[in-house]
Amino acid sequence: MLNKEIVFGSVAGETMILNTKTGTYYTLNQQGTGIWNLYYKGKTIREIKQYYADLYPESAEAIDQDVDSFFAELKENHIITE
Amino acid sequence: MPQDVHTYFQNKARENDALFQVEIDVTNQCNANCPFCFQGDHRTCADGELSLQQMIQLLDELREMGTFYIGFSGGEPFARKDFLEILREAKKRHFRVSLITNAMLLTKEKIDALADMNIDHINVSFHSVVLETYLKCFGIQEKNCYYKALENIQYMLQKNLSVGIAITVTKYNVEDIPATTKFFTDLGVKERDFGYNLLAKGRREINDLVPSKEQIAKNNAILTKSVDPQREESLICTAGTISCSIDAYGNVYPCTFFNTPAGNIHETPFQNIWKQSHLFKLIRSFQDSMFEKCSSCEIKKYCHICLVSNMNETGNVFKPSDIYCISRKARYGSCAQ
Ligand SMILES: C[S@@+](CC[C@H](N)C(=O)[O-])C[C@H]1O[C@@H](n2cnc3c(N)ncnc32)[C@H](O)[C@@H]1O
Repeated sequence: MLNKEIVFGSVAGETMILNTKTGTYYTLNQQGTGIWNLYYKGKTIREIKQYYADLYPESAEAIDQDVDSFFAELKENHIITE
Repeated sequence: MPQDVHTYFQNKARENDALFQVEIDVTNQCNANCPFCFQGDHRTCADGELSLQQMIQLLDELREMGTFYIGFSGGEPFARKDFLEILREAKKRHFRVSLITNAMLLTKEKIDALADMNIDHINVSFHSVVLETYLKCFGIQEKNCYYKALENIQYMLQKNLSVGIAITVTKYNVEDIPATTKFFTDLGVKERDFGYNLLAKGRREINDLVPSKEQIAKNNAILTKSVDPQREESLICTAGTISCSIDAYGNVYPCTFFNTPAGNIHETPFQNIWKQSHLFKLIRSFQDSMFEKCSSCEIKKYCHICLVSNMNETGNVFKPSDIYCISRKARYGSCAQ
């Protein structure tokens, strides 16, 4: 779930996230924005991994790791809560 | 990243015709009757205003478009009974949300709700700490409104909400600005959260209300405090390039002061208006160099070309009015020295 204190906007495939309590900004590149949009629309982490694995079946393992570390970073920065 | 993140995204939005920020007027109804109001005569009827459901649909579209910031205004937004619900829906979609209000219709319960939903910033229009001037600026007689607004500002600050004071500068209140600023600074409003808004013409004549050059010069020290030396690269305002305004009836304007809409969301999907309307396309074709007088002006680093002031005051979008230039130079002139 997104932290209640997070606000965000996207321009041309890049995303700006602001933690309104700490005033800290984060940015996501095109790939990160793709994952972020799926998550915002309610897809679970598992579904997101599956979505990318279907698109790039040969890289399923790397996708798994990349998506995990993406969400670990979001958690570490208190952008998501679980 | 070359600039700070916010500026980087603003500039990127300009390059990509992306809608970075939006003002939404939730109602035209108002409990006050400001003599300078650009909205013209206030309306007391809610007929034809976008319903809550239509507002929610609009918020979903804005989220889809990547919009970062929404500012709610009116009329008096709290004159609309479901305004808190609209705010809640906007915060649920993780926009940065601010609002501007006269704070007269607020209650402790409503302020508690604003704090609970993490509203990012509340601007309160409070044009003078002097009671008689305050009433004159709002075109009202009830002294109680002044005390109610004050009490509400104090409670907002107590709840740790981010509160700004918006002072619309007229010949009535310009002399009170130092006292008004000191009063609210002492209450806990931060220096950066004061906005001194110079009059712009909308649907009302304002010439008789504009402060004299001498009056502005006398208060220059305070007025220039709100000048932000950081600015985007373009000299032209953001209206129609990265921002727009939507009124309570679904009309879409480059900014709230425009009198002619680019379209209406009942007739054309909002995204199409933003991307394809002639008015927005025309505005996006403007270059700084087309504004002859402004592009060689000594205060161009601080001043913005306000397209709508040019249109409304001189009838020529490329030409600022003398009043506009005099008041801007009085305000920003010292920065340029
Ligand atoms: C139209 S009001 C709506 C919100 C609310 N009713 C209020 O009084 O803040 C928003 C702001 O616009 C300012 N304003 C109104 N007419 C103006 C004008 N002609 N030029 C500049 N600012 C104006 C008001 O003083 C107020 O600060």
